[in-house]
Amino acid sequence: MPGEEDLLDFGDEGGAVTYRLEQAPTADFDAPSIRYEGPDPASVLTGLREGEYHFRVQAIDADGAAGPWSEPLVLHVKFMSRGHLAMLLATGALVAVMTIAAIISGFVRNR
Amino acid sequence: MTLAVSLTTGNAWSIVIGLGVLWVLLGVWWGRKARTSEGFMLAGRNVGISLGAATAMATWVTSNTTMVAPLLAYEKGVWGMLAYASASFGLLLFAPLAFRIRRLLPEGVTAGDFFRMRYGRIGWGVFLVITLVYSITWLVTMAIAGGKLLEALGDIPYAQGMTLILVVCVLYTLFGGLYAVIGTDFIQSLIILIGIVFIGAIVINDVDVPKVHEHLSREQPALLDVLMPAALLAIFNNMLFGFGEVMHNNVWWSRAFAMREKVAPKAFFLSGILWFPIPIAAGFIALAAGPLGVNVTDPSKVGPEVAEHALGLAGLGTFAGVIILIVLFCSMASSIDSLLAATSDLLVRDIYEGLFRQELDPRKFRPVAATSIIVVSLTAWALALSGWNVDQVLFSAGALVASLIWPIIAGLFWKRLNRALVITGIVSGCVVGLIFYFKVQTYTGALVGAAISMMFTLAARWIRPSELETPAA
Repeated sequence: MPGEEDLLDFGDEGGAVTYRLEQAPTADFDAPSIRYEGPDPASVLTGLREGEYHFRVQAIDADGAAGPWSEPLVLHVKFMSRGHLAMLLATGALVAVMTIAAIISGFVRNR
Repeated sequence: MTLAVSLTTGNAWSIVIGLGVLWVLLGVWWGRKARTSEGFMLAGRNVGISLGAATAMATWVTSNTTMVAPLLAYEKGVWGMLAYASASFGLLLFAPLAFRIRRLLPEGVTAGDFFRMRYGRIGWGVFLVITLVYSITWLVTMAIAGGKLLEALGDIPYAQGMTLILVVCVLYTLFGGLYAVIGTDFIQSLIILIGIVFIGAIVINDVDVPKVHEHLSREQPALLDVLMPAALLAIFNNMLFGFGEVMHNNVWWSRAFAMREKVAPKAFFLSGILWFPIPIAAGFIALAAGPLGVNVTDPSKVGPEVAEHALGLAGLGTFAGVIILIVLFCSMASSIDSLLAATSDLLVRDIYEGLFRQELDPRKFRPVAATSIIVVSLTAWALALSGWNVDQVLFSAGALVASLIWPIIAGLFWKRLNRALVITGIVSGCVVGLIFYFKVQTYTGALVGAAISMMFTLAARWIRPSELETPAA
């Protein structure tokens, strides 16, 4: 995932009125946190740092009865290599600065 | 969160048709002045500072500003917000270019006139392909955004909503040409500014900044990271994309020709300053999604979703949907009309008169211009039926327009160039930029395209340059 977004689609559980999405840093869900709890059958994730994340979802019916947890989903977040990033950023900065300089100098000389 | 339908379908139709009738009536009223081709295409070359700055600002506030800027903030955080705002530099830098454009082409009508004069028929042909692809792409993204917005806010079926928005804009552009476009842009710019300030104030009132920061630090920490790779790339890529969009497109050239000579640079500079805070405000709204408890299921709608939620919390109920629809409809209309007018000008001036070498009888001008507007809008409508992903469609054009930045600067300010080398640079920039866009990273297309084209253009100044053509005295 290049630092953008991932859509977790829970699928349509017949009879579910609420979905609970848990996130944990380890596969055993030892220290989970609730990422989303509500009626939508999907949730978009953004802003995760590099690393491994584990997710599972549970459907809850109108009586409040929770169904079983889904199979866990493992998400690996990996960014672009720092070397490539540095090269592209340097190129971008150079082109932007030279463009601005060319316009200003052209304007001054042709006023 | 699926965007709650806060308007009835009837209300949504009524708002869009009501505003549409208003724009069409104003278009007819202002269009009375458009008796000649110069009046229709360039508003008599007599646009002043207020209308000039307002039309440039309103045209640049598109559905992409109000819908993609929040998306960038939601995906890339603070840098994403600033990345979108960097597109204002395109308007700021167009100010000195507009000064030179008016001097170099005092009787110019389209950007194509410049390319034909400075780079010959091949360079002009390459420019036409790029700008027509880009303009149609831009138009399609706005039609798609309009259709999705009406579907989300008013439960109007996508195809119907998208068609409705296009039809309204086509009608008043047909009647009034650039007079109608600039006049309605002025009113639309006021509505957009007031609406965004109002929505921003409500959101700020509902969410305090420390709470947003605390939520982001816990749930979306990369959005606050200084070294988030995609976000950093987006800054330079979007800035160069913005340079390319503004510097090459006939939307801006036609405004430069339409404004009084001394007005054009000031108007573009002022519009850049006015535009800068708008994507930041729109982006901040998206960052407040988490703290406000908004579950995002479609990031392209995060801005309207959070705005609607915040306005709902403020007790505005159905009125929230009305405000959002009016502001976003104005932002779309102000850009769609400009694109229709400017792109049809290219078809008339560059394709009909230039490529097909047809002498345009003044009596035939309006039917030919009307046909061009209808052809452009029908093409956009047919492509928009697909409902593509808006931001992916738009950003794929970045490599193309960024490849034109340096050829435009060099053509405006330099006297000698190797034209073949410059044209090779444009084509190479497009190809390599697109390869980077699809194969390496989305936010590299414009950056790489601009870099390749810059290298070729710089080389063209020193390797066997020849005198560039200037207008006959």
